[in-house]
Amino acid sequence: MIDVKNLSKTFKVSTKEPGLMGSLRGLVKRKYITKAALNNVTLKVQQGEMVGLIGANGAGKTTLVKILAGIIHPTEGEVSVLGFNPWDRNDQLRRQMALIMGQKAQLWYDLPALDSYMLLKEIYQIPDALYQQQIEFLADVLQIKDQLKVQVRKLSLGERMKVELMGALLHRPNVVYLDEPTIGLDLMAQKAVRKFLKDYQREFKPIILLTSHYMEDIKELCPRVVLIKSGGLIYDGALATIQKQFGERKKLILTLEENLTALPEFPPELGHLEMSENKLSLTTSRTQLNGAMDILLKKFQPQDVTIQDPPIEEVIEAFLQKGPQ
Amino acid sequence: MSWPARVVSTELRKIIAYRSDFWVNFLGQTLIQLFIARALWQSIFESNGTGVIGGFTLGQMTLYYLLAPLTMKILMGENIGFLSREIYDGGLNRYLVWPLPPLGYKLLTYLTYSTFYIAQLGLLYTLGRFLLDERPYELSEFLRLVLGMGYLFVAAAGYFCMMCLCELVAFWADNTWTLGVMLRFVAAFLGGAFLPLTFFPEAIRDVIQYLPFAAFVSGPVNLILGRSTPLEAMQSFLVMLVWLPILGLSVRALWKRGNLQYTGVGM
Repeated sequence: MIDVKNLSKTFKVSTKEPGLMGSLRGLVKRKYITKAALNNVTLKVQQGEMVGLIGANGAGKTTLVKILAGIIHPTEGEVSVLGFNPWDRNDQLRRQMALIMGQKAQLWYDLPALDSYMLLKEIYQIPDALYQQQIEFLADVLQIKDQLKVQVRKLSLGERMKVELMGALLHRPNVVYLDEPTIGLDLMAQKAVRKFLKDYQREFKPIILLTSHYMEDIKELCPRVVLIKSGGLIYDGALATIQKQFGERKKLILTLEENLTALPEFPPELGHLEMSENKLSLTTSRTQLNGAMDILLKKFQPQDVTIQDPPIEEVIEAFLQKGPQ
Repeated sequence: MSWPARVVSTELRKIIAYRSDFWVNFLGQTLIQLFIARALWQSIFESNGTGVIGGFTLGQMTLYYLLAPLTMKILMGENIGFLSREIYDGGLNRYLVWPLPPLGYKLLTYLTYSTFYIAQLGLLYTLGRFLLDERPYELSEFLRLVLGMGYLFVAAAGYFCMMCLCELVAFWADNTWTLGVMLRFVAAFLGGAFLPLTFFPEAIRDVIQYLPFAAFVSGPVNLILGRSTPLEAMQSFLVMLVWLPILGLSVRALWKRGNLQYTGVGM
């Protein structure tokens, strides 16, 4: 279990005026500002949960992951991961933990992944039988068997992410921190990584904390999300609840037989109407949808009618802007 | 296999991962340095019109300049700037999450490279000895070489600590590349890599004998060349042994304090 109580972290950051004069002044005297990266965060994650950490750039989600992984020290607060204080860097905890950073390579570029895995096997003291079993299982699920003997630097971005994931999960960790695991990957690779994480979670039930800017990752993998804004936790709960609260707008699209030349008359209080060639789209609230649809269907006989939920990105953005209601 | 043994094995595989780079590194670099030193000292010996300068014949001087750059290579280990760069760009994160002592891991990787270069020194010196020194080879020379190689291994550990002290400043100052370059220059100069210490004024030599630098070049090289007895070489070795725990403890203290400052940026 992960138990975080009143966690805060501040950084002292140097600042400099722009331009040459600013740089020269900076040589003699620097100004420092104190930046609160995390502010009184309290959070509990149970074994087997997969939680998505969401927030804008600089919101504090990566700082939270770094503290939980024992990389940096907090300014205030208490943290317990599987009963250990992470910044004590106890080997027993580190043997049960994995950190995967989408933007940072963990394996050695000049060696094939299998060479790096052999070292990780000794570092994590993985028994021979489990090591073989994990190599076979992970290589099979990730469909990466043929790439394990190729120098890592010669692999494609997607293949590299897969071998990184495999390396991080070899010791079958009970806590996995995933920081942007699908960043830079093409759609196929993103899908494969997501499927793998889902299968892995189902099979081994670790705690997984995921930060990602791809809402598709969060939507597909994390039933629970934690929203962080300016270092503070503003929401902790089901993604579906936010969708319900902030996804109350619907989009109605009518596909007509002929192109439109002008917008039809329509009461503006029922929503916002737009046209594009033979498509007429209306953005309206869930409660007004039926009434608005009646009016439009009386005026047109469309070939096709679709009703769309707003994209999850918009829902989260709305939540981050307006806050919980 | 234990993790330290696996680290050594992994690093060795990295050294030999690229064939052409390996041979250029193993032979090319040394041959070029040797050629320059030989040409330079040959003209100095000719213009001086003497067979011995500072107690060195031309053959011995050439051997000295074969060994001196190689000892510096041993001290450089894997790569200068390795730790400060990882602190700067967040690359240190991976070692902090592994269940092992990060600096222990770094020391092992460094000593693997140093050991590889020590073996290179042994091989190239033996070849050079037969080509450049006309005196008959004696068993004692082989023993001196072995002792010198062991000496260099301990000196490399000392240099690692000194280098760490410079590199760990990156926890506070971000970019400490210049500090590393300064250390390299000071170690090479006061160690005798540019000029044998016998050419230094006596007052400076008196001070240097209490510092660890002589153990980096002059001590082991003179032992290997037979210019100092094992007992004389023992003096600079003992000075290094006294400095080693002081340096080690300083590194530990700096690492502990630095970790509180670490932000793991770049992640």
